[in-house]
Amino acid sequence: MSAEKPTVSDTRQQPVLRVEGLLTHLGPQDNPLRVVDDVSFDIYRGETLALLGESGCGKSMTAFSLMRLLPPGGRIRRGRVVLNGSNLLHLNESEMRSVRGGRMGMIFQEPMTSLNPVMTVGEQIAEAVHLHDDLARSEVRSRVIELLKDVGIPAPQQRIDDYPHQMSGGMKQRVMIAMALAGKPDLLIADEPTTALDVTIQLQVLQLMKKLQREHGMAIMLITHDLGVVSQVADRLAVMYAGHLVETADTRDFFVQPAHPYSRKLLQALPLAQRRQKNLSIIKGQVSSLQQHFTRCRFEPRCDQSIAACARVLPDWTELSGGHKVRCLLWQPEYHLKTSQSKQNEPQQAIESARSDAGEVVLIANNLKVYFPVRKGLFKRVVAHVKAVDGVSLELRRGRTTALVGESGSGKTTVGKAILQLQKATAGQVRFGTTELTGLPAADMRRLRKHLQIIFQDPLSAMNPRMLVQDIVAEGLRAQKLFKSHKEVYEQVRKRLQQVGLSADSMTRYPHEFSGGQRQRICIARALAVEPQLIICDEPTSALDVSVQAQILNLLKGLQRQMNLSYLFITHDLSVVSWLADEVAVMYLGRIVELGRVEQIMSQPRHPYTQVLLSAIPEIDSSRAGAQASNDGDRRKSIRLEGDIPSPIDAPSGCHFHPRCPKALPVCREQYPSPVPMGERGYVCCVLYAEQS
Amino acid sequence: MPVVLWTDALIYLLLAAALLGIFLSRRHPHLSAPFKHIVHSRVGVASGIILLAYAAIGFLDTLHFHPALEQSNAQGEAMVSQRILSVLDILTDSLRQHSEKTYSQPFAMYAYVKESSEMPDGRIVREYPRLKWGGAHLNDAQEKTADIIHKSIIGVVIGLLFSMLCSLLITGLLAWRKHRTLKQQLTKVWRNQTELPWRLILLLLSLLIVMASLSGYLSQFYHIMGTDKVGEDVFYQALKSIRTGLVIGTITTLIMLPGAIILGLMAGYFRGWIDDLVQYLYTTLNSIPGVLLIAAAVLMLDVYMTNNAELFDSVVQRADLRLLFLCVILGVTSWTGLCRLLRAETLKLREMEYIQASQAFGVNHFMILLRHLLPNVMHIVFITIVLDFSGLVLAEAVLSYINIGVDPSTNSWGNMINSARLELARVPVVWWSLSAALVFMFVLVLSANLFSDVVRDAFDPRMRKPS
Repeated sequence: MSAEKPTVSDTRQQPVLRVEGLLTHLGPQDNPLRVVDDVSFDIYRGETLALLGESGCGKSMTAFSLMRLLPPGGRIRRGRVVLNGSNLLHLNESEMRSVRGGRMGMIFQEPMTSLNPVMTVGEQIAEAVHLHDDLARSEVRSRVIELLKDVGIPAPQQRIDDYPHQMSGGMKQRVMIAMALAGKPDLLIADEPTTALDVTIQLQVLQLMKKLQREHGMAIMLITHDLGVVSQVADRLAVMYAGHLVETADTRDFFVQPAHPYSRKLLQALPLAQRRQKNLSIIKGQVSSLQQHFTRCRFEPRCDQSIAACARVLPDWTELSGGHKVRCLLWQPEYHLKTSQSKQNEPQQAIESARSDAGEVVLIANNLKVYFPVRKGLFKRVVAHVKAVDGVSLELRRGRTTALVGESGSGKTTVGKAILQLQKATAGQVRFGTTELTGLPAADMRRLRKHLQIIFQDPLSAMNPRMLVQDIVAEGLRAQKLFKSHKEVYEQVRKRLQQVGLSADSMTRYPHEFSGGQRQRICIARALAVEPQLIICDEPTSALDVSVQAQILNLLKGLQRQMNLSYLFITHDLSVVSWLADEVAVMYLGRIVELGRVEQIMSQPRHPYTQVLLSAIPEIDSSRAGAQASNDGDRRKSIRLEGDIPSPIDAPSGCHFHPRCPKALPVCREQYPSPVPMGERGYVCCVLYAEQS
Repeated sequence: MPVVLWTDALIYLLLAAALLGIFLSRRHPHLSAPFKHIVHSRVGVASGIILLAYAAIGFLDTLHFHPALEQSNAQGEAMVSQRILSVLDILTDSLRQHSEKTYSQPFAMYAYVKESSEMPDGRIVREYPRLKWGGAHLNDAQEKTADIIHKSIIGVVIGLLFSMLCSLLITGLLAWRKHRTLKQQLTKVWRNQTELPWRLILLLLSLLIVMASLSGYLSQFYHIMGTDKVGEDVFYQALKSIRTGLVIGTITTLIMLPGAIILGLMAGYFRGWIDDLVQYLYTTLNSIPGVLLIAAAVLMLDVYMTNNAELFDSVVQRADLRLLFLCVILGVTSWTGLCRLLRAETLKLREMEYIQASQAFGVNHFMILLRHLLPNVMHIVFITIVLDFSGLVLAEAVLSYINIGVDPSTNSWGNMINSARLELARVPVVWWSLSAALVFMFVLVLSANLFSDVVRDAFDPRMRKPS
């Protein structure tokens, strides 16, 4: 495609980076994977371009092609990568080395593994400084401190001699950014920079990147699958599907009116409160194999708006408005007329409205505490306790979903395990029906286990890789001795697999032969097989792509209606909660800070922490398009939190949240606020509301 | 009259287990998939065939019996000798019988050292005497080269005939199973269009047959690998040593496996005092020098055997028990490494979510260990078996060096190397014993290592492509 015109401001004449017709192959020569296929885009100075797409669509491969850091077997077949006038594909390896980390910096998803654990962060940044600046030793140190200050690390003079393990995830990502900044790059490539971070930290890092961009005027190429991140920081975005760009647009235009059917589907698949009554929109099928040479629209097999021509013609770019381009035949004038506009709003199956009745209580956790002892010294004396769960009370009701929301380290997973007695509770009770589970003899507990099940975050590590799917699903049936013969067991397995939408021939396959979504379905089938009453879902969708997440969420909701299941849904993602849950409990450092009905919490969050979490949900409701026109880049009113989540080993005195709370009062420092009742069965632990009542 | 020695029994047990495993996995398509992977891999097939050839020789050497004697006893019943021979001994009877006085070079017709002999006229001359068997049919040293070439051609031709017969037979069977004509099947095999790499299999098989026939035919007339100090044929020794090598390499692992697996898994899974106990056990054992432990044990056994000589009917039985005991003591000192590896892997695996998922189903500990942990550490076990195999074959050589290895009467590569060691210092050097042992050992260890790679890949589901 031809060069794009500057879209945000006309003062930027020359793009920092221009990519033209990039084609990257991976794998064998005769039958290569076309991981990047004819990708072209420009990035201008001071601009953030987001490369958006689901996993396996070639986003990271594009970045690695730009850096010329392709994995073994990867090769660039065609195209031009022009950085400030010089074609990077013509440089030799030693010239390229000075470009990497110099004019072009890169930060990665996993800050934990990107830093060398045996070197201090100062040494590692100094290494980067050294490569690109010829400075004296003392100057290097002051430059490193300056960089650390730039990326917002408090007390950089002290932290410079810290080792990576002494820093939190957010801090490490800041160090990574500092290293990337050391070469004073023109372009910063950020490959999923905040995916491994908590929402409050994610916001800090994104805003830091924006701030640095303003100060240094560099261009940022942000690779992400998260529409929320895009909406928060990107100026322009390019949607990538199966190695191909299918839409480029200004972020604002995109969220108001996404043009490509794939983009539209991605947005519709987001679980949002206003979609509560409907099933989420899903994309059928899977990404087509990249081994073929496409002569048709590559989204055609999955598109529900496709017309006959889609299977024949490879769509070219159609410009809709300034800078908004799409690769879809539906937007080309000759085809546009033939499709009815109404087809875009596909009928979505409505699901029955939420019941207002309370439902009988299935399980009660009362003042549950899980402390982990911290031992030190020669005799392993207990010197302190990590209060992972510190007095949590919950009521789970039949046919209802209770969501447990919080960031990592808030103890929400430990609550789930303590309820299942997979983790011994230090104090408190868990009553299932009329049975007290804590202190129950192992044999009795074993019998009860068929009523209580769990679904994990990562389905692959939750299944034995050396067992067939049929044996994985049958495991509970066998352990509980629910059926006598092998035949009956496998019959039940087949039934359950069909219930979660998998065919019977998947029984004799291994877990690794399935895609992420299918694997999670197997895990759900396994939990369902013993016909439980309560399922603890421990972040079951956070490792999945948006469209797959929608499928799993639809499935979970459907199963709940069919089987009258209770869910304890553990998550950090409030948008999922707003679509799925009936009740929400927000946890911070081992305690529930707010509990209430989902409508109430989502519309009127009381606790400052809940308000912060809510502000991290991407605001992409196109009905508010009118409001978009007035603002200038800062599209969202997001509440930024200072600092990291404190360690539960020395929780702050008083209200745990007060050091980070934007509304903290002096009294917050002194004592933990007692719960203030809010609505039916709800409460909030915050002094702001104690005064009101 | 058949005789079953201790190590024979264990080899039969091992074979039975292997056959049972093959039988079971044939019935389950998902279990036979790894084996399919092996037979589809060219390296796997090639190294597998060589290993099978070794195993076949070792197996022939395992079938022991008392040979019948010519004469009958007073009652007219057939008598059996007290000697114990194996089928291999019968097959290589001529090699066994053809012993010279002392060293001779490969294909020599004269001895390696000069001897004084008295001429008919009474003079004493020192000369290289003619060998009793090696090249005894030759009249003149001039004829030797031509004769060797002549006999090699005969050997190769016989081998080629046999291998063609064999290939035709196999192809015919294949054709019959696939309902093709023999010609079609032959073209398919020749163009390598078959599912399994049959061309490679047949070529390798032919090569082995030709080599066997060549060496078999030549060894009737010459000592193709020379003779050792007491004039025994080195080729025969090397063949007999195969069984010893295989026994040490496999039985040792077989003996140590159960303990290492059970203790390693338990220590990793249960943690706590069980872990402490197992760790204490293997740390203590590891801190005793292994060679000293072996030396002490073997010497104790020696004393016991000397004091209780009446317990053993024959030298062979005695040597066999010593071999078995060596396997046991090697097993006792070598399980700690595997145990340590398994404990570490189990520590990692027990935190996996699928273990927690089965705990949430109320699966008991034994089943978790059996169904979840054991299959996931099996690749470590496999790798250890094969790496240990070569290590153990080599360890046997080291132990024989300080005379605490196998019985001196047992043929083993270790003993061969040990006896050749001193001769390396003399001039001209005696190199053939050492080289023969090294070549046989090298081929075995190399193919075992190559095979292990294929096996490991086959058993790791993550290595295979999604179907």
